[in-house]
Amino acid sequence: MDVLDHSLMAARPGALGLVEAALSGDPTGWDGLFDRFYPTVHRYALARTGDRSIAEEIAQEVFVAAVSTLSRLRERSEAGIEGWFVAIARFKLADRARRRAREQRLQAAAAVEPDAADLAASRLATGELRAAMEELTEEQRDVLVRRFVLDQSLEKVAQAMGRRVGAVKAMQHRALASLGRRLGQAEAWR
Amino acid sequence: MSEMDPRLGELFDTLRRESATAPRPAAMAAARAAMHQAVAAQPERRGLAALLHRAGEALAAQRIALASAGAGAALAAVALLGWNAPAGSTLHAVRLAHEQLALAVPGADRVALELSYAESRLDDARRGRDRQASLDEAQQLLDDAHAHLPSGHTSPLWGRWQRDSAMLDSLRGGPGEATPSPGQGSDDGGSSSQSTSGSSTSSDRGGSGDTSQSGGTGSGDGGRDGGSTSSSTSTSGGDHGGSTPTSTSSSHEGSTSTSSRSSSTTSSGGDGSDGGGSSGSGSTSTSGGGGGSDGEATATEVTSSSSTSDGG
Repeated sequence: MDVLDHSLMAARPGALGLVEAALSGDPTGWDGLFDRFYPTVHRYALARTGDRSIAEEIAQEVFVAAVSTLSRLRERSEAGIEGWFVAIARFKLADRARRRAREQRLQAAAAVEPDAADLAASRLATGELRAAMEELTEEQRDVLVRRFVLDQSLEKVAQAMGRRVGAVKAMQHRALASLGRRLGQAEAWR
Repeated sequence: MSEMDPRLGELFDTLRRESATAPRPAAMAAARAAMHQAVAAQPERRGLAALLHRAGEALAAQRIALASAGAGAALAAVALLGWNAPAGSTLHAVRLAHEQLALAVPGADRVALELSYAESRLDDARRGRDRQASLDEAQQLLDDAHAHLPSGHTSPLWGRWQRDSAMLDSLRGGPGEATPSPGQGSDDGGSSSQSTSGSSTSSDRGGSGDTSQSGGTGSGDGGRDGGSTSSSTSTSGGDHGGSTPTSTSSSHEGSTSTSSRSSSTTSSGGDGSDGGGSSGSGSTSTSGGGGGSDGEATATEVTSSSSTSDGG
């Protein structure tokens, strides 16, 4: 579950050190943060949108926004700092959804179009999953993506979200139950 | 994922695989460039400004009070010297600052604190330390305390407020006169309080002592005793209070004090007849001391003012 975590935690400059370097105007600090967290941000955005181009746009917006808001970062742990970047991604996704709701629906519809049986089935399935996830609360969605797409442990998710482990487990439980009901209903309608 | 429906588990597995697609190098390069462009557009974070900003952030985040021990020692010295600096003095701001901090603490007994601060100003005035400024601040603090006292006059702090108000009135009544002479209730009251500036007054009214004393009991003697007791307890004139019982008796000793005290006691007692008003009047009378006429006159004046404030 924590393969990605372990890879991130390999011997490298600490995230806090990179933050401090970035805030002091050292460009290597920013590069370090970018290299460290861009893949996670990109993956999170891709999991949420299913669209590579949108995920890339979101990831870029995140790091541009981080420049002006990094001074307000209060997190000191690797998980907390990563959570901060992902939180910006979440906000950007919400903004995009609000501004381009119709476009999102069109994209979802397009994603349903099969080009090959298996792929179509896969895209249809994950498209439905994403659509069902959009019905969840922001935090529930965040927990599911972090846990089952980014493969983060409960502890890491809790730290990133500033919540207790028990609260994260409860959110996960409710989110899965809700997803199960929605997908079950979708199945029934077919 | 033990709690997850297998079908849902499969969907998440698929989602995981799809999202694991590596970012395109061109997109990464574009994002990095945009980030650096944004960094370059923030000159205020560069150089010395950036260092100062980071230093500020570090201090706030890590709660580091001072960078150098020397500066810390200097600040500590200033704090120590200014802790009880009288109104009007250069370091009085230090005193005001720590008092305001105490008042701002959640759950703090605001009225009790304001009364304590007022009593310390009254004590300063009695000692001749920036008298007028001290009295002005005492007035302000007593007004603030009055505004925060619960209505109904049931709080025990009402008596303390009345006594302090009486002391303030007596201190404002006139220049520090000579120690009241025996039998001159009013004179005593008034004079004592004023002249004493320190001891007499305090003892009489207690400054603290007296006040409390007066407030303490209704009757003269009783008042005195009670007064002494209360004063020591209630007022800042704690010192007075402390010494009050004995010293008071001794200092004003006797006569004057006695009469004063009785006067005060009677009047102020917070029991003061009319409560707030009483205190006012109480004090007045007290100051007036036994001196009927004087006392009365004073009492009248005080009563008026008291009533006013009381009516408060």
